[in-house]
Amino acid sequence: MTDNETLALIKEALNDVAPGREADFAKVSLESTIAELGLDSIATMEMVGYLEEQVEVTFPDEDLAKVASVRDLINLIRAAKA
Amino acid sequence: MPKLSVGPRTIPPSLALPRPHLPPTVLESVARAASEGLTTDGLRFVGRDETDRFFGWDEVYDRAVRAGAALAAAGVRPGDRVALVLPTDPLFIDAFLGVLAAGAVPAPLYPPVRLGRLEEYHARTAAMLRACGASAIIADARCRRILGETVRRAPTRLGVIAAEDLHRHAPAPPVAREADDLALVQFSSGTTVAPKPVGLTHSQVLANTDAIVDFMPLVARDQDGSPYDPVGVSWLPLYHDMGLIGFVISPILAGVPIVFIPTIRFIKHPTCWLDTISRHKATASFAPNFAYALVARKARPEQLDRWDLSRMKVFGCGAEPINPETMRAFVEVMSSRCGLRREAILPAYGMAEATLAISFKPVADHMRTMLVDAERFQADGRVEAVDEGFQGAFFEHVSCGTWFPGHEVSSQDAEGTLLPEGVEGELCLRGPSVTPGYFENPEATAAAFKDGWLRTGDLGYILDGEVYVTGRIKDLIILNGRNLHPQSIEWVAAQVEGVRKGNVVAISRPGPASEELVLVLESREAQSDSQKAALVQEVRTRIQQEMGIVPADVVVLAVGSLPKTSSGKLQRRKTRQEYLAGLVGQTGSRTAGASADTLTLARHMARGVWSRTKAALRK
Repeated sequence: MTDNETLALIKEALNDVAPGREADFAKVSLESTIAELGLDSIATMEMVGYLEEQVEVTFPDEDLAKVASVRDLINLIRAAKA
Repeated sequence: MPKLSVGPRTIPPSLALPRPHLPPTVLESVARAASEGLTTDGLRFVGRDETDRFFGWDEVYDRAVRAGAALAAAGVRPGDRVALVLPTDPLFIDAFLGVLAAGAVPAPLYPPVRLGRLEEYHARTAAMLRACGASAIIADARCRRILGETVRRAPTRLGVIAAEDLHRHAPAPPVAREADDLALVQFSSGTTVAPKPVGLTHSQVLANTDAIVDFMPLVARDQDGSPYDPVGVSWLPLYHDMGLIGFVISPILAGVPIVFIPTIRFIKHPTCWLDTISRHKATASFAPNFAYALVARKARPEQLDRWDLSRMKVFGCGAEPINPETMRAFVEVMSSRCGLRREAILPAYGMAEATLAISFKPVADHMRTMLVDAERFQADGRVEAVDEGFQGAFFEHVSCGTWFPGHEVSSQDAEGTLLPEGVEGELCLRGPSVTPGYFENPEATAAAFKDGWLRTGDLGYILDGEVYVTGRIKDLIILNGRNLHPQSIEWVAAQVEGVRKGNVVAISRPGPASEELVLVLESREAQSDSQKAALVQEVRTRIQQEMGIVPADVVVLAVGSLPKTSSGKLQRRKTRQEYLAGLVGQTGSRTAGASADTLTLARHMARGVWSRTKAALRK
């Protein structure tokens, strides 16, 4: 998956867990931080759960703690697929 | 030897029940389960790929004494506090029981899992390591990679010990402990600023687990009436009292097998909870209120067709305020679609200071709530029961049942005078499960105890011998002499369409004559100024109609703006501080950008997953 494809998937996940914020999420870029997504802790993990289902992987828990930006999340997905 | 800062606490002789059947220590209860228990019973951990790992009681005990020997060899001395930073995994059980076998005191802490919150994690974990004076940390390889920075801030004598190899050490006889020795240091949940370590002795832990086990049905009946053995399912974190005391120590004492789901897996894929219950024909599980709302929202029609919840005797609910609407919505769906018995919903009351629980709804009864005249209750804290046809405003309070034998719960005023039944006061506890105090923290201990009672900080009343919890003292809003509970206002506001459920905070601000009511809420849908203004008006009208109060201010924020604790609970006090400082919505997990005001969104997107799920369920 290219960065752009993965970013599109992340936006799909965001729209699934926080419907009604398409316009917000349309602006999400590789440089966006997780905090800027405006999700609470449960919704954040729901988003991760959505990604796991779509990509068919399970991310290592300790790697999740280190995810601070959308770019980190994309790298995590890439590493999990590798 | 570590000493608890013992509070001015005396248990009246009438409360000290003889419990000759109880082993003196937690480890000895494991030894008993290992020697008497069925070898088919034990702890089962559901893996990532649906493969289960099973540990019979004998194996649990064998690994514990090996781990104890390994820890002693690593330098752990009797009485040391040893922090555990481990996920919901067999290694947690090895480490926890191994520390006890070494004669030391386990202090479970939460592992790092939240995205992008590492700095907060290091600061909080370091504070907890200092508060319990930890000599060592036991962690797995994953947590160890992150703990380096934490330990630099709060060094421990023995550093970080690897959990993986503890059970491979040669066994040695465990260090003997007495019933009155310290068994556990647990941190009360929700504490944010200065986490307070609750010290509990073996006798307290066992008194509480014994009382819990007494309440739980040890034989269930199938639909055809045939008896059926109990099985528990838990995704609860093991660093939390409900997961550790309720689903590790109690089952060991009762010899009840448990199936564990990794906590993080539940949060990511909530329906795995009911999948596992159905698959393992479980009879009991516990979770906070939010989990029932989450799983009902996530359940897909084909899952509801498949799940069999007919053997569940207990779906316990505790650890946060219980919203009767949430529990009714859950039981409504699960009873009609999955065969759940309505009486399975079991509200409970307790806290880390009382080991875990102090009262349970009786297992055979239905969940009971009190409808209370709101005007009267807010004016003088007295319960006047009303029925559903009542025209005025009313509150619905959930009964958390009767307190455990040998324990006592009372409602008291600020001076420590016991209040009569049906009068709201501060809930106070005493009994053999209650901590003698916070670990090496005499100030906190002195502040929490009065005349032998633990003052909980919770508001509530006793009626017909049952406990009703109505709120937290520090959150109370006092308007013109009426005591308003933020929860009751928040739940009314949350019924307004466009208000994000569970994301409304009611607080007070100083007004010219009295305090004034302020609501701060999150909305996904209201983004433009006009949408926000319309939502504010709707919320005002609803609160006025249902509660007879006009909010002085209603603030609409974007999703993720309200301050929350690490466990996702709303932080009313912090919200109030931010509001008064004019900073609300500027911190939290998200900055409310000015751009949000210029965005418009299609109204048909407004309903969210919850309505979609409800619509799907009606089919």
